[in-house]
Amino acid sequence: MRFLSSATLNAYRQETFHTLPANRIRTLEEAVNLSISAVLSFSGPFKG
Amino acid sequence: MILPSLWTAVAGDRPVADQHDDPGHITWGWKDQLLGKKVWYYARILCRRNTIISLRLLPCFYALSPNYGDPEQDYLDQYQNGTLTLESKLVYEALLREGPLDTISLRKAARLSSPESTSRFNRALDTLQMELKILPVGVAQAGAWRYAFIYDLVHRHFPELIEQSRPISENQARYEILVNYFESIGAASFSEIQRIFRWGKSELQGALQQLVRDNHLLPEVELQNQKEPVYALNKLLETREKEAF
Repeated sequence: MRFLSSATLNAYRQETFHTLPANRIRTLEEAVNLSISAVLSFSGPFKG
Repeated sequence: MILPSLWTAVAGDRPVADQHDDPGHITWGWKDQLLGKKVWYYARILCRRNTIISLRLLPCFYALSPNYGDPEQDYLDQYQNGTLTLESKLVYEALLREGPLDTISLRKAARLSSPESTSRFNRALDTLQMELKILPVGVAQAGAWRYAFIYDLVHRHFPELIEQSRPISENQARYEILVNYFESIGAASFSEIQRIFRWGKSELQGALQQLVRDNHLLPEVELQNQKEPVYALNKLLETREKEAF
């Protein structure tokens, strides 16, 4: 069985979720671009 | 189970703030501003939660919905089959008959204005959104809060959607949605994926197996601190192995 560390996954999600201060979304245009290929929830991360 | 969210992308990874002047609340303004503009698709879709879907992926979601290309007949078939409630039928017919309506007017037109009908009306709104039959297309200054969504029928607001989704098979749709989902979240277990998309077990298994065959995903990956194995993006594991050298 292959192994994936939480650190690797969290680092990946910080990039794709734009949660790092450096890559946060600041404008409506950026928000629209973020949604181009994504399935996004509107408010906070949610439990299914 | 997690999805990327507009709130965290703007405000950081913290709960939605109660304070009205929190800068993160600009996301609500953006959401309202873009209703009906056909920039993205916003409605209650996944897990009855408000979801933003790119227009590129929208035909895939529509291909998986119980809409078969005849919007004025499909809902009647569903109602007769017992898969659509009376309230959902009434709300849908009100929009079909009257055109776009704000929530207050829609309740009246659907004859669901009584206080006892509140939860059944709200449930109908949710169900119709999850089935991609209706969506909010604007905001009206109506009701006690002077704020009410205006709803329209999906096939009227996006008339091209039926044709766009027609050539997409359900397998293709699931595959495409999962490619985008995994690009966002990196890894997820079978039960996490099932909870969010609510697809049948064998259909989901088929789509995941295809993603594994195409080298997008690796199955049976052990994720630190998690009991259930996950499917993970191949590139995530490859990166880690390279780093280990």
